[in-house]
Amino acid sequence: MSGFPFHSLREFIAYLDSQGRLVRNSVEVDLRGEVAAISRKIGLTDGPAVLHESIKGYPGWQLFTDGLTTRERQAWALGVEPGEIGGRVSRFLADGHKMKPRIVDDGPCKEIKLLGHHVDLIRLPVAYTGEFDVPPFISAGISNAKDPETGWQNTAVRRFQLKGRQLLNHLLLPFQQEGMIFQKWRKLGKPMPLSIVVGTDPLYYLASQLPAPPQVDEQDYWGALTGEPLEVVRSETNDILVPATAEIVIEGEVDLDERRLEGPYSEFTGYYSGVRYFPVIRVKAVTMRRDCIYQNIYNAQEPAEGGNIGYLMTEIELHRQVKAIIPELREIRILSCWGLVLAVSIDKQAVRQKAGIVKKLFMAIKSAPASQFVKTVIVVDDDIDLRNVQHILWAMGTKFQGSKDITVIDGAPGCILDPSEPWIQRGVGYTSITLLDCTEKPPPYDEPYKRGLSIPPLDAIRRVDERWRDYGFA
Amino acid sequence: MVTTVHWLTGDLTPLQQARVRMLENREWLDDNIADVQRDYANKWVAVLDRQICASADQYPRVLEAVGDRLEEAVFLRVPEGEIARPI
Repeated sequence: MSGFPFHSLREFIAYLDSQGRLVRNSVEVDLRGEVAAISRKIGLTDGPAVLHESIKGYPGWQLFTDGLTTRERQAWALGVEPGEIGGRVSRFLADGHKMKPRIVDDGPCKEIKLLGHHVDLIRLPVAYTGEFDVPPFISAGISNAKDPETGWQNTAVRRFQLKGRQLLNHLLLPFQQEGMIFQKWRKLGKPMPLSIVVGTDPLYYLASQLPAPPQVDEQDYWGALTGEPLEVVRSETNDILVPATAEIVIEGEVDLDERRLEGPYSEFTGYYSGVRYFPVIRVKAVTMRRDCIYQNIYNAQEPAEGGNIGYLMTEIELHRQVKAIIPELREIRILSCWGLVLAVSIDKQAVRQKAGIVKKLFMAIKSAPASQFVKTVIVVDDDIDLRNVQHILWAMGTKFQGSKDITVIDGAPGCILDPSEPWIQRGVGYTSITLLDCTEKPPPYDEPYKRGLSIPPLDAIRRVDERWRDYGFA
Repeated sequence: MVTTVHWLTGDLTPLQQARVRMLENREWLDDNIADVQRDYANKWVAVLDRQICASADQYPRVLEAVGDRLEEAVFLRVPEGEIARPI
């Protein structure tokens, strides 16, 4: 495909425009609800990306959303066909290729520099997502922090709640890599420098979601995936490297001691997170491109861009981890909520030949590091198309008996954002995990199975495939 | 050298001015959350002018109370009990 690799958000926007997958909206939009409602509808309809060119109360700004909402656009960002995404990224991760960024002296992201008291976050067109996330969150911020001991730079999509004209709240979790880096800065007694990138090429967003092990910078994946190094510049107030073509870079320091209430936030489950105490970022500088484009990622009840980006990467990584234990695994697809419901296909012959392999697969999935949110697993044979929910339900309808094909394990690791968790007296983060075994069971079959699948003759199906366009179908 | 353009340094728009007040109201709520929890746990509250301007069991009631000052108001369903501090 042409266009790949995209070196900036603007290149990607131009490509989407050329493919008819961009709407340039000149109607004034309201940051309070309207931007989110448009993204919601785009998600529900597999709609195009949108560049809002007129923002109420924010003259001069443009706001871009939904660049990566669909698998088609995610594939464009990765330079592959939609059906090739999983294989391409899995091979890439298995190869372990990395390429260091190339540091350049200057870049478009420094066309405008606001330092110290000139910084005013109020002037950024930060959009609301849910009705109750007040103040709103910067939802498309990619956080970059450096390990003070080794110099390793970690890159990850985070959320940042506006808390003051030079203050942000930072959801910093102790079990995540950035949280571990923060603990090292705390030992040193120094605030943690941070650079937040808002608005950049789509591969940078996807690469930041890849599961790099500690001491591996996700930025190195960009070069390995494209075959050319990512051009980066040093931040103004710290030595963190950021893409030279970024639209906005917010630089600051994470306070070691001060905590403020973060949340509520509209989460991928479609419900809100609660309020909790998290560190604050004191913003020291903002640099940006002239006529810069603010990027927003809608994150709420699916389908939504935020979840769709994460789902893709989770599916790929979970597949890689489980395949190493169960080679008979075929495909993995998140059906809902980052894996709260997961569909998995397995080699149909293996189910017949290897006793207990479906349960072994179930246990392997929940044991994999990438399965943090997995709660309900639907296992089907590999003749079921996981992209087709009706096929999955057909397998459930015809191959599944509740009395013998359900396995439940209580007290397993869960997701604190799952509102169905029975947390009383046990604490959040525990859940029941469930296997729904919808594979065809070994013989003896009942009578209907003996006659085989009810479909037209195979040669007729083949002939129709060949002549599909002749009939007048596009 | 600091380079700026008008829309980054000129006067704030009315909406941006309202957002400044909204941030002040949220700061007040954060600073006074213990008292707010004591008096309004499990209720919805609306904050305007750095004070609770309305409380109710249902969100629409507090929304209604802020009238045309929506952009500067802060709303919260007040949690009960200790608020977690994960890091």
